[in-house]
Amino acid sequence: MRKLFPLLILALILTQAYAQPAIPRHVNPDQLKPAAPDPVILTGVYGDLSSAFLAENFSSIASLASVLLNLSAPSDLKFILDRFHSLIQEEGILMNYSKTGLEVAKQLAIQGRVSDALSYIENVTMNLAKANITYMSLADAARTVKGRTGADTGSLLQSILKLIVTYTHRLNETSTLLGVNLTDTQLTLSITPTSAWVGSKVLAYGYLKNHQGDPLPNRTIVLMMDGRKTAETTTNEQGYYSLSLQVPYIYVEHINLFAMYLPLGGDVYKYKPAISPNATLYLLYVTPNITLSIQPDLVLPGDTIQLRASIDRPVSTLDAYLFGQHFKLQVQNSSATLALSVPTDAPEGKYIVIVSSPANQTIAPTSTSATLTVRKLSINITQLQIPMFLSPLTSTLNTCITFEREPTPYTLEVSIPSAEAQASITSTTTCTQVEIKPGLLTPTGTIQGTITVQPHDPRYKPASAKLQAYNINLLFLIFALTLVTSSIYVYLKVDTRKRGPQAEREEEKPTPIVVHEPSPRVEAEENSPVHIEINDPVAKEYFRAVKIVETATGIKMKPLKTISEYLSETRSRLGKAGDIFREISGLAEAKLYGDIPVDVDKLATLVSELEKILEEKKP
Amino acid sequence: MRKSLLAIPLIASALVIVALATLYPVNTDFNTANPDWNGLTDFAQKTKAVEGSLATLANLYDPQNYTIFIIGPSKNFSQQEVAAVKSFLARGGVVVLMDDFGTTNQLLMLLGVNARFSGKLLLDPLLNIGHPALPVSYWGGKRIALNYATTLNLTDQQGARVIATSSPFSYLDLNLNNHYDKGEPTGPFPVAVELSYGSGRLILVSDSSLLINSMLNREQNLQFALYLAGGRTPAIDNSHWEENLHAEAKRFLLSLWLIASSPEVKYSLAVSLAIIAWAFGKTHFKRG
Repeated sequence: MRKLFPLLILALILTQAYAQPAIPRHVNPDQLKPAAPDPVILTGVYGDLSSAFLAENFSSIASLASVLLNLSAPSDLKFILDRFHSLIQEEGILMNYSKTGLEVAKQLAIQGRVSDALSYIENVTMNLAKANITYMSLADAARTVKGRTGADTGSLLQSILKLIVTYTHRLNETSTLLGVNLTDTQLTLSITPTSAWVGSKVLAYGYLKNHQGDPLPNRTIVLMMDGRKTAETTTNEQGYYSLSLQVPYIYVEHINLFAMYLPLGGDVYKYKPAISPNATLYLLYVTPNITLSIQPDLVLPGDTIQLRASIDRPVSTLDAYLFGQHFKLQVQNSSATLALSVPTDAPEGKYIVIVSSPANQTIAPTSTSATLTVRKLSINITQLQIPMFLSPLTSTLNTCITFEREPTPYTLEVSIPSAEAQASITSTTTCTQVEIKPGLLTPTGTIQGTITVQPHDPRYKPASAKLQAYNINLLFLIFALTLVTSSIYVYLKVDTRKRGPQAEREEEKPTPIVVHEPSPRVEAEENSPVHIEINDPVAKEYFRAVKIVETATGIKMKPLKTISEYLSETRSRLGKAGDIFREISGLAEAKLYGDIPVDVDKLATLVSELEKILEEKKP
Repeated sequence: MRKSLLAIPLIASALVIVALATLYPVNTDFNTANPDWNGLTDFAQKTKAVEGSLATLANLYDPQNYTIFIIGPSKNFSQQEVAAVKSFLARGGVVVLMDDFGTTNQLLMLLGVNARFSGKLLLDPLLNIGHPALPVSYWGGKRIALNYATTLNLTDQQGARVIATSSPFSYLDLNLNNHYDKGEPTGPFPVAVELSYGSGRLILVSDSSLLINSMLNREQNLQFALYLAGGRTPAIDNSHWEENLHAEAKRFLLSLWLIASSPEVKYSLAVSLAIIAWAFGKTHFKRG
């Protein structure tokens, strides 16, 4: 076994080692030094940026650049990386402005707004110039980044350069466009009638001509209604156009229409686009009125409500929405009714009831609402008899409850966190008792808790009340009494020891040993006093010893005491001398009770020794 | 005489041990009395948090006023504790489970929740607070810092609302070599989600170290902690941490102190000491 012991220890250590988790729960961040970013990851991000530049996805570029500005690195490397990533962010912004500027300049050029277009072209030229300069700084920084981190920025730089070249070409195209003189055009639009019922038809017509009044035949005209393309038509040989439009089922006061001419093909370099003035079409429809009533409007969960809706137009159905549900109501004689129960689990509060009618050709949709109030019945904890708690014993809490209407089964819960006590009881009576057992170590003093009544009938809402009681910890009390009692006992013990033999001396007078004159021997009978003849040398020596002991201990030998009794009374006071006195007493007993011969000299020697020891003991 | 000589150093040693155990702060993970980098003193003091066993907190504390925090559990959960948590949630309570490599998956299984903590180490080589194992995650437009975190597996969980995610540059280091290897899952990963559980809510956060003293003031961790508490007082479960002997001794001494502080015990101790002192004092002066 001894040889196996080191192996067992080794096995235990190895087990512990393997049992340790491979992943720590946490480390102290203050003791860590920032590590350089992983070059593989960084290269991947630069690749993503490259793709974003090529796709002209500037929002993606902005978010990636923002993320890169927050990456963690040692302070010297962080400075370099932050600078590089700031340049990327700046480049993205410049390219974004350039792209937007180019698009606007082109539109303005097509519309013939030369001066506005020139202004944008000027801005784009400046942005592209800045982008070029930033690119050169980027190229320089990229070399440093690659040297310090190992991350490859080649594809990113190539993408940026390619985009700069692309935008420069677009800038040149737009500038060319501005150099061409475009001819003004004129487009008109009229609607008849100017007011129409929804769903009916109206006629839209007009003409397209150049600034000299010459018609432009076979040109495409687009009709827009409220900002949306509605129809398309072509001008005739005289430059006129017309078409029939259906008024949409939109229930608004009016809608705006306009026509557009956008040059196509060769017209792009000859004519300017044209937009007609707005034409307003007023819409005609009917809006019904719904009257809604709810009876009653103050209910309890489970109650039935009557909903009645009246409408002044001929509709077949109405939609009602309440308690998260949708109901389809059939309309008869211009009204509809609905009877339903309030859900039993509906919380207390106000509910909005909506009734609506759908659109039906020339009848517009409409809706109305009403309010329904759901309330719950209340419970009151009217009487609370709080006992004094005697932890850890169980106490009984009496509670009475009043219900707003008929009583209902309920669950009464009592919770006293400071006493680690919790109890619950289900009852059907208005008054109930619940037993609570405070924890073993609940401190003496005021304890607070909560009483909650949870009714089983969903029409009732729960009630609660604060509970405050006084607790006395019996264990602590018993401990305290034991402590005080023990200390008093110790005090008495110490005090008695201090006072010594005097504390045990009796008040009765010491009884002298009766010494008789030599007389005929009397046989010692059981339980009768022993008469000792002074002539007997053993008795003499014994009584000499008794006198010595009496002096030393203060305990007198009473006449009715036997030799053994006196010995047991005095032995504890004699210390080492007790053994000698025991031997003396034994010899005396042998002689006096058993008439066994005793060596008197030996006895005398013992008595002298006893005297000597007790003399030495005296202070 | 010899016996009394032996007793003096023994008593003195005991007193020194008790004093050290009492005065020297504990250093166990997540202990609210631990002021060191891995304790929760800051969080407990700032939020006036309470602590206790999970069963006590869940059974006795009002869910409308307290949010239960189960942080970094190392011990399994009993059926009683699970029932208590269910009851707390049923009463509209919020329970926040913050774990990474502990025993929370067992609790989730017993609660019947399908979401799990993946148990794989989350690293972010770019967005971190000084080390890839201290990744930065996004909580809406804010940033929170994690410390040796994992991720949440929501494959079989429906209705989870993701509160925070790791960055797109994060990955799970499956072979624990601190480098990204081809095939290792890449982010973003959910690191904090909220689930409805009956009338209550369960919030899972895949890092147990977010609230420790050395992390609480990093990024917006403190604001995140207050958000998790939801305006209620945090109630921290202290019954599922592994404690060392010092912490257990301190807890025992604290219990003794609470007992000794009760009126009966302290006054009776005072009276008893006075009586004994008087008894021995009289004897000593008389002999002198």
